[in-house]
Amino acid sequence: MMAGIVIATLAAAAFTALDQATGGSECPSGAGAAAIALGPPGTGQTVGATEYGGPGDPSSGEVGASGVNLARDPDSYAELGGYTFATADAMGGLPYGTPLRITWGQRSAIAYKQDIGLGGGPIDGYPRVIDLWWELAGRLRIPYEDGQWSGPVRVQRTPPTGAGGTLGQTASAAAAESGLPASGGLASGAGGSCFSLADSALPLIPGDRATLLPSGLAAAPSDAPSAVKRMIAAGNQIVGKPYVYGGGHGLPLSEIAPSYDCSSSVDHILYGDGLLPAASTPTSGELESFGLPGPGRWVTLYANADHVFMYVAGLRWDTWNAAGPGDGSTGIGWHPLVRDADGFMPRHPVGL
Amino acid sequence: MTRSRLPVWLCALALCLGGCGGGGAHRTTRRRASRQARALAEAEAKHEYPSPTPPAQRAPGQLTAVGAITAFARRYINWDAQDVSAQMSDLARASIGQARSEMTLAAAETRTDSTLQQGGIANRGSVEAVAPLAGGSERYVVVTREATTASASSAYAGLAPAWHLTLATVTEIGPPAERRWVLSAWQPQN
Repeated sequence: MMAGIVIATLAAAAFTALDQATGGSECPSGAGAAAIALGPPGTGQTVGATEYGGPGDPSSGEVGASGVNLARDPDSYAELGGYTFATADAMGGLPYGTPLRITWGQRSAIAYKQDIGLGGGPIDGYPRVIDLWWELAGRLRIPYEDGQWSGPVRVQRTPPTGAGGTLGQTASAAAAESGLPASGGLASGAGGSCFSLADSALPLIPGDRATLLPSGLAAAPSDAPSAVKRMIAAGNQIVGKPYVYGGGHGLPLSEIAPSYDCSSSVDHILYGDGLLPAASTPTSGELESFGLPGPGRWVTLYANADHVFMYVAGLRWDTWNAAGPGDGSTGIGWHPLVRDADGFMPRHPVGL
Repeated sequence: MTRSRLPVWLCALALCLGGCGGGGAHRTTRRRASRQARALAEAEAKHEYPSPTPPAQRAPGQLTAVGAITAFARRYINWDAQDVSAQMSDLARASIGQARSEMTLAAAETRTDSTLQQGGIANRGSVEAVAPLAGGSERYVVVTREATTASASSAYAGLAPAWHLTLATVTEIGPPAERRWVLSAWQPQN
């Protein structure tokens, strides 16, 4: 796993109201983290940050997702929000190598994006968007807490450099001045981004039950049918996405949405195996009639008019009460624990 | 003999001019109206009003394409707030086409750019590589390594020198015996 993939807490609290026009989801409302849109140079903003790496966090490794050795290039940060380059877009999906000025207290330093990570809920009310390599954090005098520190920092685009950038003769210079992503990608919140299951490397484990990895991703059982593996891969694509009531509805399932609710996230998994067309995002109530009645051998949906969750190879896919009732989590993801299915209609895909 | 024939020639010329004048003016007006009608029809179709062909641009050149690009690039990336406008003017005079337009614009903008002046912004760099693009269309990729600084601002503090890439196009101009290469397009990519 890449160094910047941090274990997602999958907890998100309300810090922004996202009122998306939807097709009428029937999931319980919740609150979710959202990405930020970096302004032009000189207009910094306060965001939630974590640190990673170092002797107390050996699991992060030393190679960033960009391929850079972070021990040799310690002025590095990870952009959070997902576990692929396309989905880790909490700051709009910055290209690797993008410099940012990061300020903590009275100290500031320039750091370059060399990694990506999952992220999680807000920090001190600020969206969690950036993970600082521990040596960079040290330069800012952030105390090293075995990779567990979190807190607000200020991030700011740097001005365009080089003659072309300074004179405003490059496309990226114009984009930086406008605050738009230079890569041409869509910032989170503005829409979705296309995804392909071919982009993901699906972890496999022996046997017939999926396993929750520390990263928050699921490892698919090697004995499972390909359809099950495709669904797990589809779920992994959006693990850690914030829960927003109505999120994901209105966008084609072929795109990664900035946020999901219970039914759109289940739809996404079903689409992963082609069980739903891209243009369809049925609500939880509509999923009560999905497939065939009763539990399936590999896949079971539990749906009612208010909520839907599912099991894939024994692993629960859910959007709230991740670790059991009352744990306060509201994110999208895989959960190791079963939950009471009273009041839900069990359904399963044909043949699974 | 010359004297005796001159008045006749002049008379003939005067008659000719006199005879052509009125009718010629009428035809000229008709031609102009016809030209305008054609231009308007073309503008309707293409949403662009045709303009006369500009005179050919001239610029001193270099014996080789790579030499022209390298000389241009070095001046383009090495300047400070005090001389950047003059540098861009020089580059405009040394280029044609899109490159000339870009440099002319840069010269005009930097002349009144208070951010450059107040920040004491400067750019320094070196040309690291010039290589032809595949296809052989007189297009080259230019790799430079540049550092931007500001003597009166902390905006660039801590930023490391960075690689930059530019697409350059050159054109061979001049009579056959004196062919020279000049920059005709300069398109920084980052």
